[in-house]
Amino acid sequence: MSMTRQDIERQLVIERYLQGKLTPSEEEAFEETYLGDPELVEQLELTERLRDGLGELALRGELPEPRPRRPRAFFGSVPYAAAATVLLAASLVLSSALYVQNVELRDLVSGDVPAFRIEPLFATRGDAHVIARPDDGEWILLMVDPGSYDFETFRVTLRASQPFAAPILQTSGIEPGYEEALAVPVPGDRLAPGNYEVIVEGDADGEWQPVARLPLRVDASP
Amino acid sequence: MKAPLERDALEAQVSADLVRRIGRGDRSAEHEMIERYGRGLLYLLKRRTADAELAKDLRQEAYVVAIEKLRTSSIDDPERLGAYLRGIAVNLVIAEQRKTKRRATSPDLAAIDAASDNRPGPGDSLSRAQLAAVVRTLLDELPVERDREVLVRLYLMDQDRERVCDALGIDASHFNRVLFRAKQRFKALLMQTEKRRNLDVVS
Repeated sequence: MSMTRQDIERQLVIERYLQGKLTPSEEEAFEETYLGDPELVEQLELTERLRDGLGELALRGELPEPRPRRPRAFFGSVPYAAAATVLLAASLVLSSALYVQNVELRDLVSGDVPAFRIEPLFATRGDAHVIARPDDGEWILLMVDPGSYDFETFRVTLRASQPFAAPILQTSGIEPGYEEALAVPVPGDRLAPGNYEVIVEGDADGEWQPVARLPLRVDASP
Repeated sequence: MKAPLERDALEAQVSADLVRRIGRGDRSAEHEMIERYGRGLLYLLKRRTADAELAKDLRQEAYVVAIEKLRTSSIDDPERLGAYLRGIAVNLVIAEQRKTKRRATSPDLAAIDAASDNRPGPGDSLSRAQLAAVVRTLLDELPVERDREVLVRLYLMDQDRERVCDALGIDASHFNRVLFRAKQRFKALLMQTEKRRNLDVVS
C-alpha cells in the first residue's frame, strides 16, 4: 500500500528510510510511493546529499565549533531572577535617591510609572506557560522565542484560546532583540485569568508566514 | 503540489491506464512508463546495490521483464504498477547478489536507456568538497546553535526525532520547522553552487 505525503512528512519517513529504520512493510510502501513520484525522489536525493555533506564535513574535521550556548537555562532560572531582583532594587534605590535630591525631576515624572514584569515564552514542549495574574497597573513584557526563523521582522498576536477569538493585541514589525526573543509589552488589564494563545508570524515580503503558536495561561492567583 | 488523496487516486488511474495500453501493444505507453518510474527505480536500485552502473543495468533489465510480461498478460493489481516494478527490481537485486546469471534480453535496451529519466539529482555534479562547502554554508546560516545541532543529531548521529527533541528541549513542531527550512535553504544553495559551477565550466 502506498503512503500519503502527509504520512511521509509527519512520520519523518525520508529520514528513517535513509537511516535504515523503517520496518520492511513501511519500506515497501515507501518505495512503492516514491517510484511514481519524482518530487519525492528529489526530496530523498536532497536529504541524502545533506547527510553526505555533513558526513564529509565531519570527516574533514570541519564541522563548525559549537558557538557558546546562549544562557537560556540561566535566563529562566532562580539565580537569574535573584540577580535581576538585586539589580532592580539597587536601581530603584538609586533612582529614588536621585528623585529626592533633584526636585526638578518631579516635574518630568508625571503620574505613576508602570511596573513591568518580564515573562519569557519559549517554544518548548509541554503545557502552556503559566503566569500569575498581573497586579493593577502592571505590564507584562512577553519575551517570545520564535524558534528557528529566517525572517527579519515578526508579527505577534495575543488572543484568547478559543475558536475565532478576536485578537486582544497585535504588534507588527518586531525585530528579535536580546536572546533573539521578541519583546511584546502587554497591559496587565488585558490578561484576565484564562487561556491564551500567542501567535508568531514572520514577514515574508509582505506576507505573514506562521512561525509558532505558543499557549499561555494566566493564573487566577496574583 | 497535489493533495495526498488526489495524488493517490491519480497514481492509481495513471497506473491502470498504462497497464491497459501496454497490454494493447501501445508502444508510447511503454515509453511513458519508463519515463514515469525511471528516476525512482534508479534511486531504489542505487540504494540497494550501492553501484550506479549496476543500478542502471538492473533498471534496464527490470523494464525488459516488466514490458515482456505486460505485453502478454495483465498483472494482479494494475493500479499499482509502481509496486509491480519495485518487486521486479528487488528480485533482480537479490538475483544479482546471488550471482545468478543475467537473462538475455530482447527489447531495445538503447531505447529504454534513452527514454529513462537520466537527469542528475540535486547536487549530483558537485564534488564531495563542494558538497561539504555547501553544507558548511548552510550550518553557518542557521541562526541558533540548537538548530545546527538538530541537523547534526538527525543526519550525522542518526538519532530519531523524539531523542533530538528531548535532548534539545524543543517540541516536534519546532523540529519540523527547522528541518523544513534547512532543506529548502540547502536546495537553494545547491542550485546556486551548481549554476556557478556550470558557468565556470562554460567560461
